[in-house]
Amino acid sequence: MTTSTSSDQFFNPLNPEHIADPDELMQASRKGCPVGQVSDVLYVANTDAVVRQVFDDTEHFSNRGNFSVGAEDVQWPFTPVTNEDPPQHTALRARLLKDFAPARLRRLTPRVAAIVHDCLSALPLSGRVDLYAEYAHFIPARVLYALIGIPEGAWRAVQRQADVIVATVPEPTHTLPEFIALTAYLGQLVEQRRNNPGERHEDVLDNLSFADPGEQEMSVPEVMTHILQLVVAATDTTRALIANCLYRLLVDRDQWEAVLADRSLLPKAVEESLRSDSPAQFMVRTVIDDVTVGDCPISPGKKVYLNIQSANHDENFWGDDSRTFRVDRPNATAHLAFGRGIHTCIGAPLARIEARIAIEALLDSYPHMTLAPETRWVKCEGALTRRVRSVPVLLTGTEDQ
Amino acid sequence: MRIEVDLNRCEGHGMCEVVAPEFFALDDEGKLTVLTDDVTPSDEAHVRDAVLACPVAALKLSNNR
Repeated sequence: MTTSTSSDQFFNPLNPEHIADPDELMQASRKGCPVGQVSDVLYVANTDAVVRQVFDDTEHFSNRGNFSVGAEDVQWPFTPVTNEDPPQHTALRARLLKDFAPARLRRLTPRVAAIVHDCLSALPLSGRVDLYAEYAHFIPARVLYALIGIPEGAWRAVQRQADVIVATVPEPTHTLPEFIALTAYLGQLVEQRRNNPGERHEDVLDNLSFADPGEQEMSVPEVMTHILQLVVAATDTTRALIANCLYRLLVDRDQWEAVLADRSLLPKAVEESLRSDSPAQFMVRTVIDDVTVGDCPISPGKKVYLNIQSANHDENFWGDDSRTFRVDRPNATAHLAFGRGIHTCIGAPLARIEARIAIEALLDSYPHMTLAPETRWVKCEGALTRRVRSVPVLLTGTEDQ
Repeated sequence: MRIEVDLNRCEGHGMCEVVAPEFFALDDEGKLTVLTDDVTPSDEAHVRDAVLACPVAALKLSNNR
């Protein structure tokens, strides 16, 4: 069904007015227009079935135009893994998996716990704080810098630069002073590593600075491309996960109490948060061979906007309460928040560990905290990320603090 | 029904083990073992949940016995 959705009846990612509060429009799309065309080049896929179909199909779809909803693709000096296709993608993902293998990420748990503890000790014992700006904001960046191998003394400066770069994406970033400074700094780190080949580290810098037999040598700008891609992918999204999950648990206090009473519900709450408030709202694929998505034929050169959020709210898959956050939702893990298939989020295991430990630390230290009065869900700006703008809470510590 | 695993796709995310630990186990290195690949009709929905949870789409339920 090639339904033109130029009307305001259905969700249109090209309409800036649809971005702040998209859920009703997406529901209308799932009912009336599961796959629709919104511009000469762009189609939108809105249900679990069609989004899952495209994620699983690398024969008819390419990643090269990912994140760009217009006809023009972002030009990269080197292609990041998120925009690469096999066989180059296969080799690059295998290289990154040396640092991001789920088993290896799980071994980072003590380091994540130490970083969370540092962020927790910076919170006051009582009073009003914004758990997004004063807590969730710091954790994913620091965990990622540890995994990359950036010296701890530089974390503050790197985060300042990286936050400017992340906020600029998808606009070009390479002319920003912060980009130039960060590139120079990371270049120095790569050179330091290469000048001391006898001293090896188990981190991303080491992995990309030294090619094992059968692997490709990388130039400094190439290393920079892949490290920046990790920074962009890992920080805002994981911040969003922690903030969104905290907001949903606290706004419906029974759910916070349920997790306090039964900690085995916490991983389920994290999955349910990923589903109901998916940090990355969409991905984009480019059609490379004639294909039919749902009932809609699409020709090569066109793009498909994979509406991850809408798929994760799909009533046919999740039931009539699909837009409700429920810590006890059966099998919330089946969501598509991290994508699926060969491009599935390589940092997903780490994001899950971070969210679990960050929220568990608050459950332990501030079980009686409450959301500040009159707090509402307001989505942050930008089309890609779904995050509550702030999580203002009133802290009251445990009695033994 | 039977569980089919494509080990070339498996990266050791372990979501199958989270959903259905009676059927899937990962070792410390993330290597997957299917504990029993024969799925009775009463377990089918449960195993299907694990198949849906696989991030890299490495699992399938098939009718081949």
